[in-house]
Amino acid sequence: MSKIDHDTGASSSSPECPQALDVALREYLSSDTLNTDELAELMSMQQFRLGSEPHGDVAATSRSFESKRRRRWSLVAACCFVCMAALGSWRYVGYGLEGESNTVALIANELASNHIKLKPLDIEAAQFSTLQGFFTLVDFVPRASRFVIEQGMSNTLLGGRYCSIQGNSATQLRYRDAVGRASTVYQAVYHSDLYGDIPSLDRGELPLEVSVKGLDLYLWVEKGLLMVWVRPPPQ
Amino acid sequence: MLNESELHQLFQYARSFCSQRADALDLVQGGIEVYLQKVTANKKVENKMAFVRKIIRNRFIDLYRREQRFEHESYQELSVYDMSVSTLEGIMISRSELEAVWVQLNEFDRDILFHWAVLGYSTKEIAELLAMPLGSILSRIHRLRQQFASDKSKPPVNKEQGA
Repeated sequence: MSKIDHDTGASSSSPECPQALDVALREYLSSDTLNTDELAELMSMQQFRLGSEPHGDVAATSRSFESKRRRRWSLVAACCFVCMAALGSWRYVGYGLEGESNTVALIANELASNHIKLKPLDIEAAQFSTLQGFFTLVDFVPRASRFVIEQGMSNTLLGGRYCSIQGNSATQLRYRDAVGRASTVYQAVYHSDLYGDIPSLDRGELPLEVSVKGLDLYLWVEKGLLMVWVRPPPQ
Repeated sequence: MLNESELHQLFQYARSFCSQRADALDLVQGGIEVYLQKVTANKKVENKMAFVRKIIRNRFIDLYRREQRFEHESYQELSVYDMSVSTLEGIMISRSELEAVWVQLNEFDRDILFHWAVLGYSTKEIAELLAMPLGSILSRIHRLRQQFASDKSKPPVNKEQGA
């Protein structure tokens, strides 16, 4: 234990001058700050979410979301589909999202970011039943979606990890396609008040399809679960 | 809307849980998103910083406890406590000594120290904010004092906590 000269406050074993613990903690903890990019990202997220015009070096996605949202309010759903397809960012398949676009945008941005980061798997498994047995700490049982099965016949299941969607417990299932690219499927208990009105496969609706950060995302509800599939665009 | 100073402080709070920057940033982003949902739904939030910190803390517990990266630490509560925070206020410590101790602390202890040193809360206020019994807080403070007294001269241990 280092000796401290209580008259001078200097430590005999350290060149630094001891300070009161609370002062030292404040200085130490406040030295760790957000960098410029991190700060800009958080500010832009807030501005977009609150409906302000983004400024600074904002990702093109936020601008795209904001402009698409304004167009959608003034057109019938079929006309919106034509405009969005022409713009190449949002594509609707006969489904309107009045009032829910912000939530969908938040979900899409969050999960696209998660997909890009591809954090380590909690479990590696090639069998879906193995994953279902592993995810015991969420309040639902992950399901093999028929949409994913039908659309991703050549995908190989790699495993999964716990995650969250807008602060709610969720699971991430990870796949690899025929050319080795990763895709991720997120599942969480669906609550319309949390996630808005999302197309339901069980009602015969088609998934909502969006493009974020260069990725294709599909959002839908199936058997009471919100499902989001994130994958790179077809080559 | 949270200003830059508030964002920095939230990040510093999240960093007290996570050794990885990216994980701390995730926690902050998640906390802000939940807060903004409240705002856009015209739901009143009394103290936005306390609200977001609570979301950050709960998300950390939910995510990292489930990933078994968060070690639950048992402890015994003392029957007699010094009922003031002077048990911590009298400690003198250098930057290097603090760094050596900090990496050895668990997330609960860091959370208490952050609320005390950075946010300036009293022991009673900390207990209320963290929804922990006052006795638990005092017990942890007592152990922290002992740890600061005995460990601050040891070389830093590269212990990854959180994520």
